[in-house]
Amino acid sequence: MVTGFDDGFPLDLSSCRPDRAAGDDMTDTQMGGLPDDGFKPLIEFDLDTTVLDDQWIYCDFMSSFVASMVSHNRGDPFMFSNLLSATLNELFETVYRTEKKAGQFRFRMLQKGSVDRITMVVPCGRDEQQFYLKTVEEVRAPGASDKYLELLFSDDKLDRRVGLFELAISYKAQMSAVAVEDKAVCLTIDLVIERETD
Amino acid sequence: MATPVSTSYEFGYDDNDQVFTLAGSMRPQDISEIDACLEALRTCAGQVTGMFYVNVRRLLQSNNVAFNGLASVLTEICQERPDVNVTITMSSVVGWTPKKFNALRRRIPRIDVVEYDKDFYPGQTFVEDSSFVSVLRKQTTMTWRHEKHILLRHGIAEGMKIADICCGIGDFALLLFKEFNPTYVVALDHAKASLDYARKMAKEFNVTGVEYVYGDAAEILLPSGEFDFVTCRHSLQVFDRPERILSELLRICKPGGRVYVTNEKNSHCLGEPRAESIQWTYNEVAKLWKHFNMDIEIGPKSRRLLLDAGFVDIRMESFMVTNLDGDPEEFADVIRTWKNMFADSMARERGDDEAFIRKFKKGFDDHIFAAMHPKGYAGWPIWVASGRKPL
Ligand SMILES: C[S@@+](CC[C@H](N)C(=O)[O-])C[C@H]1O[C@@H](n2cnc3c(N)ncnc32)[C@H](O)[C@@H]1O
Repeated sequence: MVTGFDDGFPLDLSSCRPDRAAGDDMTDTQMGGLPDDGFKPLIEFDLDTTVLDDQWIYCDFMSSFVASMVSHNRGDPFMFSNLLSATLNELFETVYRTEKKAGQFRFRMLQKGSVDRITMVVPCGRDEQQFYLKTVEEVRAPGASDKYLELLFSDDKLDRRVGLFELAISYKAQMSAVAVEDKAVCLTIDLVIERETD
Repeated sequence: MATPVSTSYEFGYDDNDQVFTLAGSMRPQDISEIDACLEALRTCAGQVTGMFYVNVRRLLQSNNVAFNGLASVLTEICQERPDVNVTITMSSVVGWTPKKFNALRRRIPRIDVVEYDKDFYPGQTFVEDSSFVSVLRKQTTMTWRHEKHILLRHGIAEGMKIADICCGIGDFALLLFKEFNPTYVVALDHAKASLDYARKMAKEFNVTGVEYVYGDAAEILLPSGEFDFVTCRHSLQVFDRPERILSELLRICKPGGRVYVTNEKNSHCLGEPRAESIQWTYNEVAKLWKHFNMDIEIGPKSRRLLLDAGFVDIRMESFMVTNLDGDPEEFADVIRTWKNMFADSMARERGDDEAFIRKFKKGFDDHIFAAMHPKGYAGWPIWVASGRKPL
């Protein structure tokens, strides 16, 4: 499941940039810049979307696996791994619930100092791109904290936006979403988990 | 790194204490997958009177689907049973729990949330105090001279996987690492100030093979049967139920591996001259610890504790740290820090009057006097015990 870095992934990751939301009027080319910026790669994998759709339990497997792989040498490895696994699982569950196109789901994690960066490319059509772009806007809007609690404690079926809200509100993650043509959405999330373990 | 990964969960109810316990990892796709658990939670709440405890100390993970389900059942219980209050006990070690359960508490005032490991242990505030760091450091310097030889008689060998539980400032773990070339050492403690110090030291010495982990010795979040050698030094004495810690030490030890503990019997500290005053003070130390439900006299009881916990092949010995081991000033330093901790913090906390505190301090001063006296002798006895986990 874990692959090397130069395996000819069809989508260009350089169109992701963390501090820009899709609402910002930048073109893809103007937005180049990842994954350098001093971030060092920690782990990366691709997964066929049909495989990802196959089993819910993969969300749990992937988050536990990644968390245990990248938690060495953190201030508190156990706490780090516990929190990272919780956040990743919510992300993977969100992706699972996305109506995906055939193709490769790409996940990578990078690190610079105390910041961990997660980038994900989710093959999907316009409607699902809109879901991500809109949710990323919502989590930054005023009142997002209240909205998060409303979603978390909702009496109805859980709204799938809750995971992204949780990352933004509870973990203070910085996130951006960029539509890649009509093929995919690219999410970038910057997290400072060590802050949480203090 | 030893990461506990659990994709399943368990639940159970203890009607004696009215505690509903959830453990493991709950990540259902649909809420209906945990119906049985939520139903059990409802049913148990139906039987309780007064306080209903929900223990999530070992609920390592829960996704939002499961949390939302738990939260709505707990909310429903509060609405339907005005006579019942809910207390959720969580562990600060399981990072996700305070975040979410505190949010729930803010919504539903009849739900209370307690960090179990915060208030639970007697004397926790004394032993987690950052001023404690300097005592521990000096103590280890002096005990290591003896223990580095003793450890060999208790089965330590090169290439082992070792856990040091209640590691304090982590110096013992570093010494083990340097002396016995283990493949891996994990050192766990519940005092963040001590762990910070430990990590700083490891960095300074460029040691990367020791992992310092924040955790609770009574609920160790490490897998079972993992370690060849488990150490727990001077720590059974800070818990009111040392057998609970021992059962955790036994659990994480590999079958055939050994658990090594060291403990004191403070009333047996001695010195000449001024033996009487010294003895009086250390007898008082024992009583003082007892007041806080801790047993500083555990040393000679270690054999029984190990046997009762299920260990076999018990090996036991004692040694005396004395003013003649190295620089007597070192010994005196340790006694000074004891004096501060026992007389100034603990005795005052107990509410002792000035006359008592003065007399109490005198014994420590006399112990220092004996240590520094050109013809004097001062000692601090320690009991070492180890047992093998049956195959
Ligand atoms: C007397 S010190 C001994 C430390 C160390 N083993 C040594 O010999 O230097 C006791 C240690 O137990 C730790 N401790 C107390 N309660 C604990 C708990 N619930 N879980 C883990 N460690 C705990 C304290 O933080 C303290 O570092």
